[in-house]
Amino acid sequence: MAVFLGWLTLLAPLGAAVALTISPSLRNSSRGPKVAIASVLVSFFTALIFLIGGESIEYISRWSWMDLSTSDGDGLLIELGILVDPLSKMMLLVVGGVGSAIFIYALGYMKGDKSIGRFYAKFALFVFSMLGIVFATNFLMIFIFWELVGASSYLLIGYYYEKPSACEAAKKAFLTNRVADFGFLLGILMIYDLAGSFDFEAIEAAVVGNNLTSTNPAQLAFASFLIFLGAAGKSAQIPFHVWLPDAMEGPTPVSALMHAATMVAAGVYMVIRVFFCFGGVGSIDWGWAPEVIANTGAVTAFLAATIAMVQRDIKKVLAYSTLSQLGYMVMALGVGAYGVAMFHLTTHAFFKGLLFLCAGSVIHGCHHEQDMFQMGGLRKKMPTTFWTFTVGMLALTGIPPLAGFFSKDLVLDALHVRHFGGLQFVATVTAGLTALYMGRSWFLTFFGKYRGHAEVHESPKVMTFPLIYLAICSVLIGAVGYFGGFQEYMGDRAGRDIGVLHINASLAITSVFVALVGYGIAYLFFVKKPELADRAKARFSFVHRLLDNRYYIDDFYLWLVGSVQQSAAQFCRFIEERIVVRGMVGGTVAGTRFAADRTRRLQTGRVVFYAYLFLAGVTLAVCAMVLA
Amino acid sequence: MTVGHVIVVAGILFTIGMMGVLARRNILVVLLSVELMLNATALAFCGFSRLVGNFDGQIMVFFIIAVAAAEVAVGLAMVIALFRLRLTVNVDRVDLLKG
Amino acid sequence: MTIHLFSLAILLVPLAATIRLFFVDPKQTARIHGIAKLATFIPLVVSFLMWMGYDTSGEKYQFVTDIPWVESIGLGLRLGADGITIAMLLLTSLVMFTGVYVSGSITDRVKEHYILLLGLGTGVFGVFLSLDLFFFYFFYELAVIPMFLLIGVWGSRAAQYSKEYATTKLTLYLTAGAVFALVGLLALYFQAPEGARTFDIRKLEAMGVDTDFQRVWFPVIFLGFAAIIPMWPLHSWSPIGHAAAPSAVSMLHAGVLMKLGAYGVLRIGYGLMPAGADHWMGWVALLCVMNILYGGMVAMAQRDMKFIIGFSSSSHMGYVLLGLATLGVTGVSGAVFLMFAHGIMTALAFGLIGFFYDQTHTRVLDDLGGMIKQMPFIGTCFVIMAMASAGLPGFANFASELLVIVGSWNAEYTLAGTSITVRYLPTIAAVWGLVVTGVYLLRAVRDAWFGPPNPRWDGLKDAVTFKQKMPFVVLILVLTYTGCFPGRLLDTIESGVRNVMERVEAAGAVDAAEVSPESAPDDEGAAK
Repeated sequence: MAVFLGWLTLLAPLGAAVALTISPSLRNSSRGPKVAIASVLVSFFTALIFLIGGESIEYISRWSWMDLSTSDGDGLLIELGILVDPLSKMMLLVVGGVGSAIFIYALGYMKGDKSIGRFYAKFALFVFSMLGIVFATNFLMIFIFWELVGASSYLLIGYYYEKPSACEAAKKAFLTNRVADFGFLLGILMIYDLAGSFDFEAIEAAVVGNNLTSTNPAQLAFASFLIFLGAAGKSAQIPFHVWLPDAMEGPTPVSALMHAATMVAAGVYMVIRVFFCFGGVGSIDWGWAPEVIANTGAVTAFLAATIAMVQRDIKKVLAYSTLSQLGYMVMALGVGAYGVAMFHLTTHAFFKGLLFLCAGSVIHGCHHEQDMFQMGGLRKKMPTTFWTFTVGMLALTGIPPLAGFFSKDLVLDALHVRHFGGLQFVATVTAGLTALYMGRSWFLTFFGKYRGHAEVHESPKVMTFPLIYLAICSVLIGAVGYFGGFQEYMGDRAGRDIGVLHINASLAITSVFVALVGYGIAYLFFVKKPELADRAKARFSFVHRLLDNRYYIDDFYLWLVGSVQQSAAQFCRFIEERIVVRGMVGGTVAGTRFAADRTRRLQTGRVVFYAYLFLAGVTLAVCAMVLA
Repeated sequence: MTVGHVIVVAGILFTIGMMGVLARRNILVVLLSVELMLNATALAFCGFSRLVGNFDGQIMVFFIIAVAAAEVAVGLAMVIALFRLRLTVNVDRVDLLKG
Repeated sequence: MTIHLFSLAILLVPLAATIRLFFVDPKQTARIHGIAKLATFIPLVVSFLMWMGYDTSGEKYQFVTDIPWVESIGLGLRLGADGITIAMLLLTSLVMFTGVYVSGSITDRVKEHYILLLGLGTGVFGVFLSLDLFFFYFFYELAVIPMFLLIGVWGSRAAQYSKEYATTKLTLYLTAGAVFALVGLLALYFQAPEGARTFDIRKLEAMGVDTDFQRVWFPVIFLGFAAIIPMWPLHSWSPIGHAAAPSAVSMLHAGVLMKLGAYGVLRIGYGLMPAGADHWMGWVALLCVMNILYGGMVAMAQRDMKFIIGFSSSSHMGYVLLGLATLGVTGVSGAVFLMFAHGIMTALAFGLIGFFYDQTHTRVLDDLGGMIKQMPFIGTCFVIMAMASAGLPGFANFASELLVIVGSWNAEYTLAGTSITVRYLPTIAAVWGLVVTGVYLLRAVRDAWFGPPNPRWDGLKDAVTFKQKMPFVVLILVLTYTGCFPGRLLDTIESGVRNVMERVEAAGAVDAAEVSPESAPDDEGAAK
């Protein structure tokens, strides 16, 4: 029964997507979106059933997809399957719980869009792909759905295909992930070489049992680093972060579900799933990979937070904030705090999903205005959106007792326990920056005078209901998780995890204080004395330019693609046309022509000449016969 | 008279014919020389026929005579056609197939 | 004399239709179309029945037809199919069938077009089915020659090249390749002692071929077939040929004809000369990297849609070569599966390009743009095609490329004539090739289909009727079905590949045993 439920959960969104794609009548009717919503609700209810069922519902179901093995077990066998354990159950809850709310919300947000059926088809396809990652039993299955998630992300970012910027962003997202997946696939192949299998169980057994950590430490470290590259692509860590802010070209529900709550968390989830490849600092020396991971997370968290401070687009602020929070999770991964990373992932999914939906509600209310400097004073006109946004913001900035407080503090605590003083400092400063940029957008959007022109209205119930639901979750989920034994539930991961952490009072007070300082500065700059912001901008114009241009990383990539890659392509084309075609082929042609021109002259047309040749030939033949 | 003598004569005839074909420019003489070569071959066949002791060689001679007759008929007709067209019987002047 | 109705029917039905078409009034186009559709539908059904009837654990060659012809020299019409053949027959009949459906736009000399197209089809079926060296070569030529006329008469200009240039180049390359192959085939025939000489592939397999002979002659046969694969640097006929050909011919050409080469390598090269294959294929693994990366890079710099797909074909065939070079069941099965997948995918691509080119009369990306507005169905199919080609899971291309990559990762490529052994590098290049593929395909999709709608294309008509949509839908369904449930097809392919590879592996084991006593002292010398 449970096995059936698992497969049903996985396949229901696929069924909805296929039905919506192939049946024009369903696609164009109002039933279409409802079918998609129902298919996502399945995963929500399955998650609840699985969580209530506890240990009695934990299983692995396998289906052989490509079988090239012989009867004695040699050869390749690729399976797809369903793996239900505490980790996948929790991720299923995130996908189902946040996903259902966003699917319902999109009904209101996308209302009036001609091709809403097409939107839901793609959206359901994404949920299917995401669930595939959640349930994956082996590396190849995770890679398959990894790619599918990338493709559905491509389709949804490019949903407004008439906008060139949307097409460009879609392509960028797909290709950036492709580059990261280059590393990922090579990492998978290396692990396959070391462990002889793609299956998580078998690899864990091989790593632990055969003690690959001591026999092949260098290869294992490099393989785990390559695998992390894949995670860095999906979770948009530096240097693969450039696609995520651009991905905001997609419809806001897409940004909320994929580019905030679930898809970008897939990288983190995958690393937790295959933690045995990474190990943890402090237990055994597993090489350099975990340290690289922790530092990548810290750099991403800090840089993204600084860029977020100068964004004008409300969605871009949230996008950089997502990058920053993913950086926290990755830091936790790097120090081996897998349970904590998962905890932060869960809480973040709820409050960041909420913030995006609020932003969508604001954008919807302001008639597709996204520039915060064209908003202001929306507190009165959109009360529900205002209050839910406030909850989400407080949760994000780690104000107790909201969700973010618990999870973020546990990350800080993990860094502290593992003696990563520098990273802990960066993380704390970033917490202050988070409060600063969130406060900035909060004040700009909801306070002061309205600066736009369009008539503002509160969003319909179908949109505000999911906001309220997510806001309640964002308030409760941290405390419930912390006191309800979330970390114990995630298990101790064969002793490699950091173990159960507790809120450290001094750390908590420091981080809350830093956050409040951040809010204070935001209040000072954007409410009390707005001219201060301009003066700071003028005073530190270099810093502002640097931030405004996103540290020139995007420009560097543009140069790389536009100049280096395109020149290489043109160079190959030059070789192809000038050397291969004109040189080699043309050379053969010229050679043939030359030889023909020379031999042509033998054809004098004079009989006597032919007779002489004939004689010479006969003489030669006779001589040859005599000699032989 | 042994077969050797016959072959020597045939060889001499053949060489004379060959030199005629190679050296002369008048197409009629060339044709005559070809006839000489054919007859040298016929003579050689006769000689070998006698050596082997059956009539195969002599049968070949009849073939050669027949072919030679046909060749003369066709050849002369072509020479006449050529002379009408070009007013010459010099083979070096006829090189329409020059490449 | 044994006759199996299936193998004979698949060959004779297109042939009979070709002959029948000679006696049809050229003005009765509906009738001509009807005959062509029937003549391609029957092989489709028969090849499907063969697939279903194929016993994966049975005889090596099934559905055998053996009609002796000139017994004194061991010549006869011998047909049969193993798992590899079945996959290729399915591919060919599918592409032929859909190809006939998309050629509805041809109005000039319809009768001759179909006579040549079906003649070409007969040749291709013949090559795949032949178990006789002579007929293998005969059908191979039969497949190449109609192509010359088909492109020369019904083709279109390709960038700066005229269709006459394209078709001459194509024919010269392919016949030159065929000559190499012919010399190799004759050498194979004559290497047997007098009295035992035969063109029968099965008998030759049973007799075995001298190892030294294999090492000398394998490159000759391989080069002959490599020209049609096409392996770098023998590829330059292919993109131009694709671009100049009319859609149905492009479909057959890229979808099927290029697979003849790889099939020849497998059936003749690997089947009869396993030791030669084992000896030489290391070099191929290096050359195919050029196919994959260089082909992809050149595709990136193209602006004509057919050139992009043309160079991408050469890039994808690089994966086929890589799979073949692995000399392992996984890699070679992946290569055969990829031949199938790529055939369907390119057929789809050229069918779609032909569909809009008939109306736009341009394929240059700079002229196109925003067309998905006017052609939602064709545009959607094109995006699906691009996704399949870029190796998206759910399509057969991904599954097969995955097999090739996994198979190649574990393979060691020994470069004959040197003591160098290459590992990993070709695989890394192949994985990077996936990135390159993504770049040019997504760019083509963006430039042609997305972006603001272009008023210039407002008059374009989308595919609306069942007849117009059917070929594309069929091809996409096949790609997704085999991509999601590769089991049955892969089992069929695997059984054929396993039979071939057993002999190659045995040859490799002998080779290794020969080499190791010699190399051991060398190692010691190096140590000193």
